Amino acid sequence: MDAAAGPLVRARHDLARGRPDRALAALEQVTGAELESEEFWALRAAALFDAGDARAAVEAAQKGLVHDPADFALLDILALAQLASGRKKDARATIDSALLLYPDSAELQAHRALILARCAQRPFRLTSYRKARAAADEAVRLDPDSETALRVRAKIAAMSGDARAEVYAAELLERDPESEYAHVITGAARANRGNVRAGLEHFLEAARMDPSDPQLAWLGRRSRALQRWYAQPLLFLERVTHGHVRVGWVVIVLVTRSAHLALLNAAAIAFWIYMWVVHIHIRRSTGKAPS
Amino acid sequence: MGRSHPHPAEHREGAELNVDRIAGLRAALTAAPDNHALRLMLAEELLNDGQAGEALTEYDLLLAAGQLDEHGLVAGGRAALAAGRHDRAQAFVEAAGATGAVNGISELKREINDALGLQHLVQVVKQGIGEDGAPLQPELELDSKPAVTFADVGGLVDVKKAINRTIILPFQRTDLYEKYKRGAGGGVLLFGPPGCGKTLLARATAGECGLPFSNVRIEEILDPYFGVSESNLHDAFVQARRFAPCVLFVDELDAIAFARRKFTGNVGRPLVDQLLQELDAIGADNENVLVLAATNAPWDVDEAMKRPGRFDRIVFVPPPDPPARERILTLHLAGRPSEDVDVTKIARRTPLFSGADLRALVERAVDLVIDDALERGEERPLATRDLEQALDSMRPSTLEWIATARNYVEFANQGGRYDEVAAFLVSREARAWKD
Repeated sequence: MDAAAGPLVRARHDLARGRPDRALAALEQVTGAELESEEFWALRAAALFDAGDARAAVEAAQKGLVHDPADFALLDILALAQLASGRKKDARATIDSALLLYPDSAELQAHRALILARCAQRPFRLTSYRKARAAADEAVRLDPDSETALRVRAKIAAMSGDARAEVYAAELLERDPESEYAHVITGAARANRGNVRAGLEHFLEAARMDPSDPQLAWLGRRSRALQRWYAQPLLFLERVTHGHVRVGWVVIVLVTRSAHLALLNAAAIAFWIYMWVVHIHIRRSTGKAPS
Repeated sequence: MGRSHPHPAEHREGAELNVDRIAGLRAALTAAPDNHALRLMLAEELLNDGQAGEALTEYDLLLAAGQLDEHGLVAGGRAALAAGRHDRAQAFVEAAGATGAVNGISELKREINDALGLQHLVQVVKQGIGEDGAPLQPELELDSKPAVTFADVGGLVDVKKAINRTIILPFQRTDLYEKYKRGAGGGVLLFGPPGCGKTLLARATAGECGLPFSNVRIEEILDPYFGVSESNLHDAFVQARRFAPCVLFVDELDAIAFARRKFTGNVGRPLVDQLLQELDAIGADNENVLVLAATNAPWDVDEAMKRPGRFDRIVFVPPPDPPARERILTLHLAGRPSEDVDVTKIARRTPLFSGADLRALVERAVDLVIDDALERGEERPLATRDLEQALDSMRPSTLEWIATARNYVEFANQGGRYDEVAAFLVSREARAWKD
């Protein structure tokens, strides 16, 4: 049987199945005029991005844009790859240019929201997700059925501690109960509101759905450790304080010290030691979060 | 009418003469070990004397030195065949191909095929050709490589036992299986890290069953036009059924039968549906088609594929064990100038190394020797220390797979589907790189 598919077809096939390694191997076999096509560069940029090589993805996308400066897929992947490689300003400029060309694209608008949310996270400053939220809402308005738009809206809501996060996450889960991302966002939304126990169940479910993702596996492992008996008092206090156990602890220490309540003060300090011991133990047993 | 056989006395005299010549040539070679013409004469004499193994050793040395012409390559191949070393015979054929030699090569290839029983399989396939030479039906594409058997696969004893029990016996003891109304054929899925011999095992399974082997690759199935990929897949199965009993091998099963739940749209689903239909047809009206598949991502294979009647027999192929690594290293070292390489020691120090990793290890060690030769101006053979030095900068490529498999065992081992992997992960071999 002769080979029916060219390497570009094979690469597209593998990319759709979450195998960027195979897609890159297929793209290595591309020769001749296909090397100059924007499809080749779009596939290469996407494969490199999925494989975690954001810098190389930026280069590939830029080379592709030389052939077609208005290519939707290339502009989108360039912006995301720039964001992943820490070039937030460039990412924002790219996505804004792309939106000038495709103003009605919910996907681009959702990715703009994601970029704005990441741009909002700056050290030593109060983080405001106002612009990111507005962009996410706009993405959903453009296409209420866009999975990307709905996911980004829920993610930003969870990141910013928005009370609507749980509603958005529930909506995602309802659409696709087997989506690991929906479970992660739901877990984050619930944990942020103090319901850590329920959040951990969702993280574990996400790990069960896709253990091949090292971050999800780590999250699952950490969730299991937090479900052990020694972490139960911590989970209980998170529930009572609606996820503000550390703030609560600081208040108690200050109050007991100023009121000269030595016993309570000692109990608060003992709890502080307990929190650290649990934290160190879990860190040692589950390792660092994979990058 | 002339005498067809020499008189016994003449035969004895001839044999004695040959022994003398061999002894003389050996003595001359001791004095001049680099005389390739003498070595070639010795090899020919040894072959004529029926000492095929010894002749092969001499031909191997000449091959490594690049001192064999067309005639010598064919003679070397015949010596290998006579010594029962099909792999070496194939090496001579390949060397002949690389030098552009043609005379006698096709005959040698035929002899290799005959020796392996492949010629019979080619005849089976040719039954589908009409009197005018035009194919009556599409031909089953046989793999052009000679058949291999379990003897050609080093180590992996447990895996071979499992395959023998579940796959080969039903074909070899058809009487027994027919008596109990248990049909041969069906689907078997081999999974494990990449580069660890899944394809070789599938080929060897076909060789053990004495069946034709057809390899279906994703590149041959995929087509950019709507519906053509499904049609290509269907054709592959139609051909296999026509030539049953046979082995149809689907490489990278996850690329064809990717889990449908992971697709957001309908993309790729028709191909999975088509494969399901083909597999279901096997049980209904296509006995004796053994469908073997391999994947290094069993978790990405659609769940429906693993149900009874489809790929219901799943075999884990771990990275090569120490005996297998020894054999692989020996194969890669053959034909290279080397000196008392302690293959056992290197095999012990390379847990989780795949076949491809071991080849890379030998090549790195060879690079070190070449660098050394260029620096010092004198050539020396490859030694154990070169391999050890190369090993210091290498890690097995299977580690990523092992890490992913560990996650699946931890989070998604419902129904014990990865119990074999779990057992492997607690073995000393698997833990060697974790600690």
